[in-house]
Amino acid sequence: MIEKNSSFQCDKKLQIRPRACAVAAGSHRTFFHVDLDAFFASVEQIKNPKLKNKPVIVGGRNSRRGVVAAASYEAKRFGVTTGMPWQQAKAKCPEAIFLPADFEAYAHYSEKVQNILNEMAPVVAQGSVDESYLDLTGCERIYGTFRRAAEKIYGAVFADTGLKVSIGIAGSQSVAKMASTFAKPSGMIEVPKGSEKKFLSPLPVEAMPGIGSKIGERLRQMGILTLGQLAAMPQNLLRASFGIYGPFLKSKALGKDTWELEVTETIKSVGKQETFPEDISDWQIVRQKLFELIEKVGRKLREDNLYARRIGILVRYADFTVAGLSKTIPEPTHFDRILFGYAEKFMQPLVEGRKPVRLIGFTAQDLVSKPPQLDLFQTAKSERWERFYKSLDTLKQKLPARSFRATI
Amino acid sequence: MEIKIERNILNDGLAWVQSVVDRKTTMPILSNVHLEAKGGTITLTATDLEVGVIGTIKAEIIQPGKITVPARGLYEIVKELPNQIVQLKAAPNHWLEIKCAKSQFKLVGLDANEYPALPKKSGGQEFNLEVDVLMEMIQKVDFAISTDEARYNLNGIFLETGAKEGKTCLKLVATDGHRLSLSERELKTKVPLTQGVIFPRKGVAELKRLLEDKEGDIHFWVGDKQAIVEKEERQLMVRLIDGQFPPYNHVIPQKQKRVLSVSRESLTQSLRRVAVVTTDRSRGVKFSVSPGLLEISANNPDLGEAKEELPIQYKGATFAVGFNAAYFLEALGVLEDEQVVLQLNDEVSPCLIQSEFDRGFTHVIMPMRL
Repeated sequence: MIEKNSSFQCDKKLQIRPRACAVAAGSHRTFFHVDLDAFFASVEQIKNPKLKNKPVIVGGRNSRRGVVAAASYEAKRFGVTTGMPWQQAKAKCPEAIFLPADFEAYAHYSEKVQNILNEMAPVVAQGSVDESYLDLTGCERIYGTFRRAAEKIYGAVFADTGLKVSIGIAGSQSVAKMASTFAKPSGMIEVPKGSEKKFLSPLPVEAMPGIGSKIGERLRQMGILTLGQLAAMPQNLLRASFGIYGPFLKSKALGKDTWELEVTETIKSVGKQETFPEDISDWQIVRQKLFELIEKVGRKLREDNLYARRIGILVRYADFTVAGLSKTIPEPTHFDRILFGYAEKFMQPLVEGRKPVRLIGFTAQDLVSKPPQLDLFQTAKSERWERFYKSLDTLKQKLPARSFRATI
Repeated sequence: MEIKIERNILNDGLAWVQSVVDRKTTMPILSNVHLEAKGGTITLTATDLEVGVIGTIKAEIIQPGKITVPARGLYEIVKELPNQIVQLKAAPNHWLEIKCAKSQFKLVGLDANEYPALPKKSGGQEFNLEVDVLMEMIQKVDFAISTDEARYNLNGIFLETGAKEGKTCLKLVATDGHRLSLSERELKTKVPLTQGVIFPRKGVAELKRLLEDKEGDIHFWVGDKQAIVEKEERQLMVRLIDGQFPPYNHVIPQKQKRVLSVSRESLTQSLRRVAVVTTDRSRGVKFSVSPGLLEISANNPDLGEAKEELPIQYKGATFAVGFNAAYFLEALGVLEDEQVVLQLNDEVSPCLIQSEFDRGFTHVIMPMRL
């Protein structure tokens, strides 16, 4: 997980419908994966043209313990990677220009790109702030060929925003995503129908989106190192080891897992984490920080009219080991005091009498919108709290930051 | 154990007890019915530990004794037998032989000594209630019982007594948190119930079966944790819900700003039609009220929209409020009135429905946000 100072991590996930692996071989779907190159850093270079062709690193500078959130290709050439501690990045690339993250600008550019894509493709689903899946099935007649379509998309995004994209074209979303990774920077790779197996087979299993380190480890223990080997495994063996996910893994390795793109994205979680300027052992200080994080998450939830059914907490200790848990709470809520009540209870045993803490995080998960049905026994009280937080949020918006602060 | 009994009598007895047997029980013996032959009768018992039922039927006892056998299996067999004398005989290793005319069956049973003991009356209060009054009261509230396991204290009917103008009255209340139904009746007899009890949903269903087609009085015994209801040769034992019923009196609105009156039949018909386009989950419809006119509308992005107008008696400001159509239809279904009076306040406050016909009926429905 990347440590970002002061950033919301809204996990907007594409909804995968259950018929995910039901699409037969030889289906004639065509998906594009459009990925913005070094997005945060590129936006900074556009905002300030003087930074063009210079190594730019976003994130980290406002705290001496931060990490790299994004690096321009000029900086990447020096070996700087995303998630690298700031000090290390500085050592690798002394002339790099460090900039604080400007999430408002990134959101603005992301929206601009979305608008362009929405005009050029019938179905667009945003995967995250800097990547989108496009379903261009049947659009080859409009553009001539898919390559022409990709060139047009690249050209339109560049002309309008100055940002560069890499595009992967394939018969399934995951293969398209892998192709775009290989196409970076500013490239395009098309995996023609029928050659998915050839493209995938030499790659390590973890290269496939959806196969993380845990499943990768289990596959390696079974002697399966590449996607080619995975594709050759008998169905029943995979089923025995991975349950219903087994056949799905195999179809992934064959490049056959397509799913319907759900255009309406849903926010699945809202979280915030922060690194302390120095390692902390005092629970009271951690507790105060937790409260501040929850205040921000709560406000974001209320802004989007969402309620958390589940909350997660994270503690990273000075030695970079991690502890945390995630639990479902009895009633969905977005009230700070209730979220804090649970989070505090979960986090205290992980902090008190343990190692010094480097970072803490809080996530509101399993988000639901408010049930429209009002409750006889609870509505009156919760309406009052709703009004209280609403006024609090308005107040915070009107007053300059830090001019007042709620205490526990 | 060995008995002889007429097939029809045995079939009736089994039909009464077998329904409480839980198909998914973790204790195998709870799938069984307990048979005990003693002194000219045979007693059939079945329980899922929450609800227990006992039926006593006359039989010719050749040899007293007891046994347990799978309830469904025995019931299915007896149901198919010709209407002649059935002979039930225990065989070694808890087998039960069933003979009738030319049919013979053998069922695998379990040791009757391992069957859980059912509660015995000790302390508590006893009283009688009229069958038809109780049945009517149950039908006016039981549809509002919550099915949400997380709100276990709402998973039943709250039963309590109160005094009204010097007379004892009985109150039955059910709520799922979204609506509440209350039925109140004056009683001719005294009911010494010192505090309210929550009668669980499954027990209510069995109680309704017990009351079906019956007349006269029914006997209640209510203890701290259990209740036993008796009617003739049948007994129903219920484990009461151990929880606090919410202070329901607080949520029954006292003074409502807006009062309108509408034909019950036309409101029911309109709601049925408009509800067709609502989503299965929310069933949300909008009531737009203006002087003399009620417009009911609904829309569902997946299907379409609907709108219907109804004449009403109402003088006052125009307003709109959303409701779950299903909740309204269920409430209207238990009213006998020709005109139904809806008392409302604002779009986040409950709607109160009372009856001219049955003064003891009170129904409250919370609105939906639209």
